[in-house]
Amino acid sequence: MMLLLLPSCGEERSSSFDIALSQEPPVLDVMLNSSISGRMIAVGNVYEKLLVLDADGNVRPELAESFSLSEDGHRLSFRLRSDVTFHNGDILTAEDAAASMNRWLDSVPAAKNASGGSYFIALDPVTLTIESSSNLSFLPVMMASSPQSAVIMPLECIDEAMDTGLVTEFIGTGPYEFSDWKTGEYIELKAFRDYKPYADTSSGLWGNKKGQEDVLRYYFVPDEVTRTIGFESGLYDAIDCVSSDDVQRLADRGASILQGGENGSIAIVFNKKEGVSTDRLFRQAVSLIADRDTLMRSCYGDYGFSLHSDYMEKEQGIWLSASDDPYGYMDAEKGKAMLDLSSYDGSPVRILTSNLTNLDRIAVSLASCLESVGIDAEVSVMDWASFLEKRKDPSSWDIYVSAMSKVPLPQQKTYLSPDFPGWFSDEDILSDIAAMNSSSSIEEAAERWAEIQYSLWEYVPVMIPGHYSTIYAVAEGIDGVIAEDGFYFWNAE
Amino acid sequence: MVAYDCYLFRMKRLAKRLLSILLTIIVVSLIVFLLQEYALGDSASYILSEDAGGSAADIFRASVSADGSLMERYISFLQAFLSGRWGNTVSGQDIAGTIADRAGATLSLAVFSVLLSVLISVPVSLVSVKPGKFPDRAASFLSVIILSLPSFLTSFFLIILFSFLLGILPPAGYVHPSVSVPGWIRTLMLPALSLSLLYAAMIIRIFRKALRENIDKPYARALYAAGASYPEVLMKGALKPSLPVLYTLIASSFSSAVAGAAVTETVFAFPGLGSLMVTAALSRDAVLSGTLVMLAALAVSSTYMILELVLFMADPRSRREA
Amino acid sequence: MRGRIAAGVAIIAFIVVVSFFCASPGIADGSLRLQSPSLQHIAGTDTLGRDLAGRIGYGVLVSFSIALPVSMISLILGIILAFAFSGARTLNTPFLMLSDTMKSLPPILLALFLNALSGPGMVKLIAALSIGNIPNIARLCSARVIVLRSDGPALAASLMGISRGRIFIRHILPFLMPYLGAEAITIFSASILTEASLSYLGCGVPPMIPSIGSILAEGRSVMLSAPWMILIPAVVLAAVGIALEMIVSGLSESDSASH
Repeated sequence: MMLLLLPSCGEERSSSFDIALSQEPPVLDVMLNSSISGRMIAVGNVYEKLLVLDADGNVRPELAESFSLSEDGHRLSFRLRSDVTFHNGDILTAEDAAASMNRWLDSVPAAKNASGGSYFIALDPVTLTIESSSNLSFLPVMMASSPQSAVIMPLECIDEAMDTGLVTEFIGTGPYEFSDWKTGEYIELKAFRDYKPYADTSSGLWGNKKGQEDVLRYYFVPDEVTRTIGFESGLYDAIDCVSSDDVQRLADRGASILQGGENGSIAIVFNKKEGVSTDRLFRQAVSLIADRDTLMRSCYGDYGFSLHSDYMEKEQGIWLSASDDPYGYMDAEKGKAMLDLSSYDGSPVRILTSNLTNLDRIAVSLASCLESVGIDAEVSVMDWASFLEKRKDPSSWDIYVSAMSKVPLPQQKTYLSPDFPGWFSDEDILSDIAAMNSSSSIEEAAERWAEIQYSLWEYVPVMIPGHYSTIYAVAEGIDGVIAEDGFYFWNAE
Repeated sequence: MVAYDCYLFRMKRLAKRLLSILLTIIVVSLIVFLLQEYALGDSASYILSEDAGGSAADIFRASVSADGSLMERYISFLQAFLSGRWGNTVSGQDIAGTIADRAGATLSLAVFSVLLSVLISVPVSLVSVKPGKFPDRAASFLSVIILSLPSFLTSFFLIILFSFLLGILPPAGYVHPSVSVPGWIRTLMLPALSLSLLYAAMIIRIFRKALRENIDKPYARALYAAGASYPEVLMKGALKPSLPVLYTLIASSFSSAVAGAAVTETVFAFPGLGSLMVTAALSRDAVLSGTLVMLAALAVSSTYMILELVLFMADPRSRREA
Repeated sequence: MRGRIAAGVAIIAFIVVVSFFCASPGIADGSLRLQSPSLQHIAGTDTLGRDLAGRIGYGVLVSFSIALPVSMISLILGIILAFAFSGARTLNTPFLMLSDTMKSLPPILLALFLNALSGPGMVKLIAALSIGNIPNIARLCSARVIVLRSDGPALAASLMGISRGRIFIRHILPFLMPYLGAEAITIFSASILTEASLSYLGCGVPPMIPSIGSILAEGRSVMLSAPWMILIPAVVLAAVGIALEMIVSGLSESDSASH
């Protein structure tokens, strides 16, 4: 069914649904590696989770038939569906689920905190529980939507992974099974004929998965222009990371342009341990001097972003604050005045970033804004591994620019941790956050967060210039593509 | 006796050459290991999520961390390489298998580009030998333009022309010849054209210069005087003596395509060894980088060794360089 | 021939002077993003809203200031190597090995690693770019040096017992020069291009500093919607290339004429 405008002369490729992605996931162990490309390929297709979020952000059971949280919040239980088979033919039991969930709990520090150090236990082949002295209200939403995905795989795979630490065989319960991975080229999935859908309707990432395409091939084409031209010439049925500047042209040629909600935010993190940005006035000044529109536009063009300084994404309704960021707008005059009041001594401001996904453009724009008021700014762009390493050294940078994926709960924002580079150090806010973490319900936590958000805006540990949302393009005549934290094709036709 | 001396001499030279190749690949891989050692960051940061914790992450970090001194690790790498047990990449894939797949692609690209470049440059050189005339000006102009622009730009112009405007060639990917030969040729076409235009421009420049030099030499003039026609003089008097230059250019283009086509491969999403090198560098995979560089060095050195052999056999006069 | 060299030099000089006067890294301004050429911005604006003409000017100067040291260093080190190894017989093993080594290290890989050592930097860039060229120069020199030594004044001098160094400087070096002149210019233009490729892969010049290469690398992602970002620097590069070619061909014509 491929839209091949090129004469294909009997190439076998025409029976597969071809998608081109901008990045190849380094590994497909989605519990340990949270890259969006890994999630797009494996989560929902190959693997499924106990719980997922639907289009309205509600937690719905997927591999579980039902789940319940006790009144006091100390006990969470799941009843598994009894008819689920893995791709290797084995039936899913609570043992597999427990092993998978415990590996996940172990690998996600925020989840481990939320569970108070307790682990899941399989009571019988279809029942799974976890009991803790802490309140477990936060755990379901974390299980449903953490970037490190809480997927369920067979016990054997978890055991095998103990060798190198990584999962090497990709066996799940989803509508597609792993078929082949030619590094540098593509990952191929083929439809799992024994998949049993668990619902008649679908909403967001939850629900009915028809799996009508026989073969899904995810190609890796890092260059934007090649990817876009490949799409336009019919080589690919769908592509991700469409540049804003190409949107009009693609739409005019008949493609469907999809843009999900916000996928994450840009975080400009200040070094609160050493250097010029330990001074709050300096940070507030920078927040006023930066031209957020320019910063976001330089990387995302006209369409791919929205400007608001909330730490959480817009779709995560209850976590948004009704008040405004007192430093969330541009006023270079005021900023300059604050700068003079602060302890800033004129030394060069060192901005660190990585060249992943054009983040360097944001750093350069920021430097440009600073230079226009007379601050000497230096930008260092490094590859990802060097960036992570350099970031650990507080004497080598003042500001770093990075992208922060959407997370289910604010406490998962790494820059709020005193141990993470940035070295958050406001004791009052930290204790407020701790209090929020021990709230008895999500609603209560959200109320607390609204106040914390305001104090964070005053303390300026980071500056959030805006949020980004990825743009996808799908060839004409293809429906049913879900664009939500990635794009998914199990209902495409 | 003379024949035997020659033979001995050639064997000695061959042995020396092989020794130098061996030493070269060792030095090159050692350099790469050293660079990896001092490079910031490690594989774990590339593969794991920023905040991944727990025992699985720890096991992984332990498995990729450098234990033992640099020399110990290097020696064990060398042993593994020479015995053919190349191990796995940091992300768990089999190095030998991955390289085998990608080497096929890179070799196809290299051979195809060099072939195309010769097919383009030799006729063009021959036709435009006469300085000052239109073919000369046109060829010079075009080759200067191609040589002035970075290769990724020519690649993009080609993609825009053939994929975007004309829609007859795919801009990315690679189809294995065992799957479909027409598909193989079509996916090779644009990357090979990209590289071959570059090589052709270089060959035209240097080969044509050699042709012009040779056509002024006594041998060619003598042919003219003996009544040979212009095309005959060109072929026998200019082309033949210039062949060594051509062979050298072919060797250098081929080694460039094998060892240095990373940018072209990235632009065309071509799964070759060049883009694998980039991945190895980014993921701080010392074993993979070391293996790749050794293979590249091997390929380059062997190409030059074959070149010398060819030159030696083609022109007995070069044997005077004893 | 004189005319050609003069014309080539004139074009380069013109480009450098114009660049000098309009060079400016530009200020980022989101509202001015990707504007096509107009009266205020002769070459339009780039992805960050900066004036492209100023950046191209600055970029020319930066690219030249990378290419020049690279050719000089390659030349000097190549000559030194050729001298050091020309004492013994022709293609001896260590020399061959060294030159094969340098040729086998793809500059791209080298630059990626050097980048990872402690971030990008001009010095590292120049080093990475020079390494690949040295063996070629050394080889060319060697060949010529051998010929020159076994003949004429150089031979006479060595028979008279004059030191190798002196022979080299007085009798050999002057004859290498015109030959190497052309080589140096080739390396010059090749460096500009390799730097562009490195910028494309993300390990070229440090980010705030524009070079023709990095401008092209930035522009390629918006090639279809903002072609001026590619076409105008490409025209400048082509002009530089043509001018250099004129100089090279002028030099080689005068070289062959004097034989």
